[in-house]
Amino acid sequence: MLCSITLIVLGFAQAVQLILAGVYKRAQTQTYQSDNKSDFNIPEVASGSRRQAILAVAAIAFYIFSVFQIGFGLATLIFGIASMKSLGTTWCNATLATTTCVATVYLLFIKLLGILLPSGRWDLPF
Amino acid sequence: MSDYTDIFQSLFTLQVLVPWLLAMIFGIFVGSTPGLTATMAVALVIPLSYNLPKEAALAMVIGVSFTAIFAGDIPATFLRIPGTPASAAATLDAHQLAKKGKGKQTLLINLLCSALGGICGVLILISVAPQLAKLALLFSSFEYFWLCLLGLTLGVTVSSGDYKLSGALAAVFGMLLATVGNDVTTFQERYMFGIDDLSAGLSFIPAMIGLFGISEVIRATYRYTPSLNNTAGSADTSTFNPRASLRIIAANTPTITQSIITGTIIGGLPGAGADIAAWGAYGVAHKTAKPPEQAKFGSGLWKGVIAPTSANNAAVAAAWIPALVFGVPGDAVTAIVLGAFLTYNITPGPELFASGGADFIFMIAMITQLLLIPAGLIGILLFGKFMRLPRGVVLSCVVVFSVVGAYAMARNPIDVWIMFGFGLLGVFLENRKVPLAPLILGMILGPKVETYFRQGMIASQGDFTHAFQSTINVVLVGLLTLSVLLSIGMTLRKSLTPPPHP
Repeated sequence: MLCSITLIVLGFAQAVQLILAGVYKRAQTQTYQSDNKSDFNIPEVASGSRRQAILAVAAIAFYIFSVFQIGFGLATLIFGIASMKSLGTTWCNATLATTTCVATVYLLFIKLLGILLPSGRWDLPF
Repeated sequence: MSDYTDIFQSLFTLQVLVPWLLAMIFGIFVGSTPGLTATMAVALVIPLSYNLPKEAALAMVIGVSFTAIFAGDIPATFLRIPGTPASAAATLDAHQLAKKGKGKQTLLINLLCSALGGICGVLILISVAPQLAKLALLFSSFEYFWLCLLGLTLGVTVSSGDYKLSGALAAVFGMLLATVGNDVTTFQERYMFGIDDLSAGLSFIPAMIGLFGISEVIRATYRYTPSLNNTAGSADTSTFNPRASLRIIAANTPTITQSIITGTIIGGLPGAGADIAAWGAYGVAHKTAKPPEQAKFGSGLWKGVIAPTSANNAAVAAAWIPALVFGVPGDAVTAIVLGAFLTYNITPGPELFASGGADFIFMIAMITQLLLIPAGLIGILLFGKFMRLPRGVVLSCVVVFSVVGAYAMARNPIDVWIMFGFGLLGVFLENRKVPLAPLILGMILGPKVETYFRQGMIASQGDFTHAFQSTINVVLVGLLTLSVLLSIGMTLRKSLTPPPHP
């Protein structure tokens, strides 16, 4: 309750600060009002890169979902190759890097540390 | 003197040295892997040490505890993902320097300052352990409550830059997130929305991996141009540059000294830990810097690298003070080590000092600091090779290791989803220029603040005036007030300063 109240109060204070700072800056510097690099502006994101970021979010969500459905090994192979390829890596390098990554995780986590990773609904080795 | 010679001889045998070095490299690996903490490294190495001689077992456990703390700075510097909570402060200046192409040099300075901080910490441990431990014992719940609040305020002040109000907002939001789960006193459900897996609260490590790892991957895709085929470490073309690094260290001797003192004092207080020490030292370095330098904190200043790293290893050494003298662990790592001591039939307390057992531990801790330099260099070089991989490969691998790290802690699928949720939260907050470090601090210190406050209130039968009755409380409240007032003053001054004319 205390945290919630403090959060509301701070949120309100920040809103007031933004308004006051905006008014103050407008009064002080009318000549460069249109400067996009103001401290309080949200960074511009190009629509193309925004689409790429949304795709990345969707891919990560799908990967996490698939890890618990088809097992860590298979899900990582699919995610790794697909994501590396989409980020400009060649098929050969993507396959090699993903296989190395899966092998490293297998050796270090499963063999050395004894941490069991999700095996999925098909109960694959890992 | 002959005792020390005997200890030295017993340690320098293959039976001890080989597992010791292997454990330290293991500590580097675990510490530099986001999601695997120093606490986990120590916990994992203890079962491996059971079947070894007592000397080797102690060397392994102590070696891991120090190296994992340093290793956390490696991914914090290169990837802005702290390997351990004690390295969160390294995501500020160290990462900025890495982006400017000084990654290896930053880490060499980090490593040398860590070793230096550790050596001084051990020397202080040897010389003033009983006195500091007595002071720590004077702390009751309310003193800890004020100390945690002070740590939080300092953290917000120094890590928020020009966005102090946003930082305060993030810190309180972090504290709110930390209330999720069963109430520790009444076991009442809080913000669980019927999800039983949240009864223990939002797991901190997956949340941290999400905030610093997944969000970084998502944001990296904003800026990504596949045709450039850039590498993750494209900006880091530097070498270790040892001469320049030594000159930087020599020029920052006062910062190192004050950070070691800060780290030792905070680390010696039970419950404070290396993470608070690192933030505390960063705060002190910021406050004591000249105004032009103060403005550069967070944008890649050597002082911002040196202060937290000197303090966190000194704090690890200092955490042993109450642990060895009174059996009160200074932090989670020391608590696990104390548990291991009991299995090796080592009982902390005055008898440990009388029998010479403490000397044995001191010697191991001191040699570990010297071995930290070669072990750390191996870790940095291996991580540097990783950085030369194509950026697409690194981003994908970071996602995979983040998922593994989040899952490995408790083997609970919900932790992975928590990590993902915090990744999205991190992107949202950073796009709105809300700093992430105060959120993390709020999540770390929120439960401590609540617990100590409630313990204090129960002990004082609901009388809050007890929170101001001891000298330590008054000093801490004074420092807290000063810190808040300074922050408000700095924010107001910044807001009212007209922007420079073009």
